[in-house]
Amino acid sequence: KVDQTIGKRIKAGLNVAYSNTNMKQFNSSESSNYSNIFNYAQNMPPIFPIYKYDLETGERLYDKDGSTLYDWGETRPAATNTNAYGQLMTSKYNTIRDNISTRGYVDINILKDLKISINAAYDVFNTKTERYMTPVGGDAKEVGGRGTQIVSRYTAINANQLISYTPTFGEHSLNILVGHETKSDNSYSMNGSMTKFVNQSVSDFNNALVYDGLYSSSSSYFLEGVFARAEYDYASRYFLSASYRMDGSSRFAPKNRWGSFWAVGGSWNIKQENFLRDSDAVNLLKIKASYGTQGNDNIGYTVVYQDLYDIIRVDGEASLTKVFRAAPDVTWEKSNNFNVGFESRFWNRLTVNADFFIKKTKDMIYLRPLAPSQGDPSEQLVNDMDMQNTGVEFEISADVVKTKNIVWNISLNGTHYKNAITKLPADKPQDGYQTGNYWREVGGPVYQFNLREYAGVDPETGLPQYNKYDDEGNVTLVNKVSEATLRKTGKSPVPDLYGGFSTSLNLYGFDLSASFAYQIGGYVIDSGYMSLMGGGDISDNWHKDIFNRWTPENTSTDVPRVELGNSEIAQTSTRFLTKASYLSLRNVTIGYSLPSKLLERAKINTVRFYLTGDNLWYLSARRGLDVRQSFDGTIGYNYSAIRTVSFGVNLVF
Amino acid sequence: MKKFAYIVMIAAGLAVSCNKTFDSVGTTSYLSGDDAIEMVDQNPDFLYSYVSGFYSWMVLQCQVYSGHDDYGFLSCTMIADFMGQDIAMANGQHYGMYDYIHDYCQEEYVRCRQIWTQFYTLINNANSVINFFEPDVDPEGTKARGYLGQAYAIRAFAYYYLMAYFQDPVDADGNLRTDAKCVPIIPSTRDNCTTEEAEQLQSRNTIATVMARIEADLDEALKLLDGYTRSAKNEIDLSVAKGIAARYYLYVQNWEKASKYAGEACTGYSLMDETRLKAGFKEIEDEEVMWGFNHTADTYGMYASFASHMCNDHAGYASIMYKCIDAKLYSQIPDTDLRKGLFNGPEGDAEAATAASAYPYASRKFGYDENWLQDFIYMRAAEMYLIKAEAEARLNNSTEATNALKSLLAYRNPSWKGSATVEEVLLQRRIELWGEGFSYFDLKRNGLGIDRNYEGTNHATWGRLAFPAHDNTWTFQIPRSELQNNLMINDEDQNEL
Repeated sequence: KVDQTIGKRIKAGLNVAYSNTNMKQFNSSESSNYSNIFNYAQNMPPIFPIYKYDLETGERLYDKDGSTLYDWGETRPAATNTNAYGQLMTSKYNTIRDNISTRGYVDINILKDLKISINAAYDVFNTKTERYMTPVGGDAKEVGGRGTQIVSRYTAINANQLISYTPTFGEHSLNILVGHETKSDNSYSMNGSMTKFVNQSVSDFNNALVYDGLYSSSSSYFLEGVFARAEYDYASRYFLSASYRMDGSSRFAPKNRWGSFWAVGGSWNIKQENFLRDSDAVNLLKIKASYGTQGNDNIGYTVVYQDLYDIIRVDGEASLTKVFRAAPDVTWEKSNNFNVGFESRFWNRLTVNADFFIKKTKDMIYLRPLAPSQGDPSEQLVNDMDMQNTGVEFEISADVVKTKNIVWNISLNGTHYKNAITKLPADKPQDGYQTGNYWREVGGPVYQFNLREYAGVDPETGLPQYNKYDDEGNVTLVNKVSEATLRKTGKSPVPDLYGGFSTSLNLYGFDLSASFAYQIGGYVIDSGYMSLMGGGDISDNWHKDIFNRWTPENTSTDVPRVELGNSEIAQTSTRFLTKASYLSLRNVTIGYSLPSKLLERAKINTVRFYLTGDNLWYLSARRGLDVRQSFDGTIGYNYSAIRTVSFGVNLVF
Repeated sequence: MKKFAYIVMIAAGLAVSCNKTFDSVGTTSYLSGDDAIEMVDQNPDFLYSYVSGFYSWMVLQCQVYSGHDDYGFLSCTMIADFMGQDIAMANGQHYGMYDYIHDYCQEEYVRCRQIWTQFYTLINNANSVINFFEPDVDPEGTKARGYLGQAYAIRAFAYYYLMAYFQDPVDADGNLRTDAKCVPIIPSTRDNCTTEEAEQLQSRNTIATVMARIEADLDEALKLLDGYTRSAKNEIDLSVAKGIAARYYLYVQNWEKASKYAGEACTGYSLMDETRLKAGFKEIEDEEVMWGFNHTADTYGMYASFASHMCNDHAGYASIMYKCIDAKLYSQIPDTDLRKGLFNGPEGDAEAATAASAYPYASRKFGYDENWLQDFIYMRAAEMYLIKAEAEARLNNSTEATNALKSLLAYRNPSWKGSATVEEVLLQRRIELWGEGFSYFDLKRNGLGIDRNYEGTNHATWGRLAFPAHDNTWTFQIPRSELQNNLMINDEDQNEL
């Protein structure tokens, strides 16, 4: 790190940092197949063993060096030749990353209030990833092991040039800023795969025999922006600000590249008024309001305005497959935000902040499905559909007890909002339409569930029943889900209230804190539970609720009968629409700091021992239902947040 | 001096950072559409990469959904095969189980969309090749003619399959239902349609309209492919186009044309002898194979492949849900017939390496390759002999029929002495083409049902069902996404459940 002053007016600096990361990861996918360990854990009947056993004695078996032998299920009727745990333990998935991060600046003070700054940041990430699937068993057994080596390089440049003018006239002060900004990201990746490894424990390609693919590609992104901002402050009491910016993004077609955005805001710091300045009861009181527009080009595509073809290698010739349909008309997605709120603190113990907001998202970018008769890819990006979130956010924090040796604090924050579509896509029926499991209509939430209504179990047959509506609205019961009628449920994944609360206690050197996250309301389709409540098959696992299924003796139940191979027994319907409320204990920390008197002689500032645990406890409608990663009301076999418990010592000199 | 060095370093860094422009960015992961068109402009031969794209599309895995039973064209015909009589499932349930019990043809299921998308993508990709050519003028040069001819042939091929999956072709008397609602037609610029006509074609045209489209495309293909030499059996050449024509005309009961094209199509190919018959149907280099796809490490799909599902000697999905021959069909294969050796008998095979391949009646037809590089086979000369035999039998030309069948059986069951009645040829089709994706279409065009619940059945207990002829479950529903996004097809146009 270097900082250098040149003359009176120029200051320049350069900061270079290096870091190295080594990661060992799960060699597992997120999909719904048997190599996903989360899927495996949920859907594999627990009667199948993980390890190899002696069928006579029931003893665990080991190979001659004493290492674990896994049961790969060569003769298992379900998920033959797989063992997600064995795969995890015998395969490699390692990543090494070097990061060099450079920051540079030049500040030139031209006049007292006029300054030019030039800033640049340059980051380089070099990554090497190695994946190796063992030939001992599992997916890569047949091919004698499969290895992939990935080398990638990612660079990001951010640079801006700013002119700021900050004059002060008595109690009036101004801050005017104009600037130019560029962002440039470049990524490169090369990956190769081989199979048939000679020495089973060596994953490098000199040890492999069969070529399995070699690829490299690069992509880049460029953003250029110009902006201006003016801030006015009168006596630290009244604040006004206005800003304007124009941004061009390389993701969009040249004619749609540039978007312009602006904002205005004001605030009144009441605490600075004469009547409150000396108050001990009020430590802070400020009200504020703002309105502005923002743009979003972060849509997951490098370029949107051209058809893209994958080049497939067939007998040494190119073979083209269209993978992306050009969307030359797509441009920035915009959001208009209105905020009004206050910040306050009283008696040095109680903080209360609250905001009311209206966020209107316009020209939302999404993949519009086309009729599949238009061929693959049968979807196209468009800017169409507007929606609005209206809601409040609040935060309350109170020191319930505050003495010299004891401080006990409780905090609560929450958000409540309503999500509503304000404009439907132009090509869709304007009185509403169905897409996937959702119903889209003006005034309704974006992800309003549109499902068949489950009507319990037929006590005669044990089959599930669903409502079928005719044009007059009369209901008949049907047993096949496909014959039932899709209906708006009025329910969506948007919760009534979500947020967190926490408490902390400091007591004679001990500290204890706990923080929780919560959500009240909102719905998900519990597809995990659905897959555990099916008609049954030798490869299926069941939820314990299946004990309550319909039988000739148990006819008054809402769980249909089991029937080998009958897919109608558990189907997506309101039966699996489940409240998404949850409460999770995110962190508990217990610490003890040695009294400072003891430490003075050792020239140590603080010594703190602590025990901390993350993701310790979680409660939802069903054990195993993790709704925390869901925004559209669906769940998959995702990684759940991992519970960690750690012990540490903090030393400050 | 040191100060100066810092300033220079920082200024240089800043200058470099400003040097980028919008023109120099993008992605090299894919070829852009503009670049592809320009490359065709500069070198017309590059159009071959679009044509080759038809064939790689037909083998792409997991294009419509992430299941391993989505691996292109052969996955569509395989699951149709599962719906018939001749493949008996055993052991567990896995991919294809719902097809087996006819519970996967409803509009909301992925299967409708998988089949629909497979063929409509071929049609649209064919159109993008056709659109490179001037309307009303045939191109010069065998290469250009060959590319355009393949586009027409693949389009005819795709419409034929769409017609077969999405409508019941015959009435109770076995007559073609030419007025029945069929499928949308997507015109190219060479089809000379007005905007209004093109829009109208988006509706469910009648079978007759779709037939007219197929026949026009076949005529174009046969004209343009004359004289074209293909580079590999991945491509459609004149013989394959004739094979497609024969397959189609058989389906629509045009026996004269079926016989004519079948007879012409198989010239130049040689039927498998015993060694080749038992080589696993996995190499398109075999001289009986007319059309297929030669898999390499760049294209193969591992678990998402034909062999994974159909080869009982493999660790794929066949090792979970075994694929066996229907016991009744097996009993109809004479002992002298070499093809009986492609299946285990009722006792199974104690020597076999896997549980699936040891199982009674298990198929041993499709062979094992440890690197999963089995080729895909779409058309064999044997089918052409069978089409010719059936068509001639239908025309009451029993001598020609018997001769055609005899030419085939000389390589399969030389001691066969019979006459090629229609029934006999249909039985021979079931034996010869077992597991290759034909039985569903034969049942439909002949107005036949199935019954798996007979005495001595070897079908899985959960699959011992009967589906009568013309049962609604024989016909796939139009996928829901099409109903939702195609304004010319409404809910009333849907096939009944």
